[in-house]
Amino acid sequence: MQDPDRICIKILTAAVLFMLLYSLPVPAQSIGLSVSGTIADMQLTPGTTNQDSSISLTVTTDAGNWSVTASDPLVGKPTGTGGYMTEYNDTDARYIAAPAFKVLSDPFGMNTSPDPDPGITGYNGTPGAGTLLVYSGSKSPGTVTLPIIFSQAVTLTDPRLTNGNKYRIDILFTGTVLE
Amino acid sequence: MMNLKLLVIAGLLAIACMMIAPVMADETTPVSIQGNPASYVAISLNQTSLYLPLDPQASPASNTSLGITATVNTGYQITVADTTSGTYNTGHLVNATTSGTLSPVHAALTSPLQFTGNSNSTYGATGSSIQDLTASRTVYTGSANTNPVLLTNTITQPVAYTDLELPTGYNYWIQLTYTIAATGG
Repeated sequence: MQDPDRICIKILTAAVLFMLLYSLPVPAQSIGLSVSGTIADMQLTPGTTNQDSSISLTVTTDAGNWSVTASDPLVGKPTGTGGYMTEYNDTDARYIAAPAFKVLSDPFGMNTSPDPDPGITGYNGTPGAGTLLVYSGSKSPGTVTLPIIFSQAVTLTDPRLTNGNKYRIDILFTGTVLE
Repeated sequence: MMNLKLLVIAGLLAIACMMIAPVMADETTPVSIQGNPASYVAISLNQTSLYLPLDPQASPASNTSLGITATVNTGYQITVADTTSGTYNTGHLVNATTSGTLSPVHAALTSPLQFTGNSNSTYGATGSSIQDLTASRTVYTGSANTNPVLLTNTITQPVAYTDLELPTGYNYWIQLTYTIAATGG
């Protein structure tokens, strides 16, 4: 019959060894994102689906599996306008409040095709009020620049704003390291 | 005493487990996109010709069947002008064949054609009061609308007893051209 204190000391020693072994710095996989700018005056021609590819997305990651999603953060926007370009006053830096605001008829979209790399898949769609998967990666690219094509259809009767305001949407890209 | 040691061990193990699970935080970056549609105005008519019963006993002759549809995303104005080829009497119906070819025999109705544009408050359109078409006239003004705007009107032609009756195969005729322009309002 062993002394209970000796048993405890053995367990404590094992625990300390366990901690030393596994608490060594384990580099967490990370992902970094950046976009190359903003679009202050996207061409919006009535009767067509307008596209703008002037902005790209740079992803830096050491993760083997990762994704990038896009969403409309809805900050300061009137209810029901998620995913839609909505009237915005640049001087006051605010969206026009209900009920006076105007909003384009069609939702804002994003295209990514063709896939820029065999290990990276792009997706097309409209984030709406939710979250749109834009890219997923199944390998670590290091740093890669990915095309983003913003898309906005404009109807013939979408009102042109004549008070100095513009239609605007904010897009939040989120990079996630997947397990 | 032993329970305390076990508690310490359990605590240390918990801390160790937390340390081996690296925290993977999401990374976010925003972008903003702004724009304003270009001006767009378009006009269409529901018919390309209309008939006026020219009877001096029932003067003036009138027709209300012409529908003008304006598709606009900004303020606009619509003008109408006599663009009859070889017009010698602007704004007046003149002698022509039934196919619209002007006759060398000049004849014209005494009074000019008249146009009245009806307002449409639902769609923010203002029509003109009656005016003759001896020059280009602005007949409607309006603002942007998210639906095509149907504009109605009355075209009126006074007929005098002294207006000549034309030989068979000829008609009094006029070609009107409607033009829409963006005003930005």
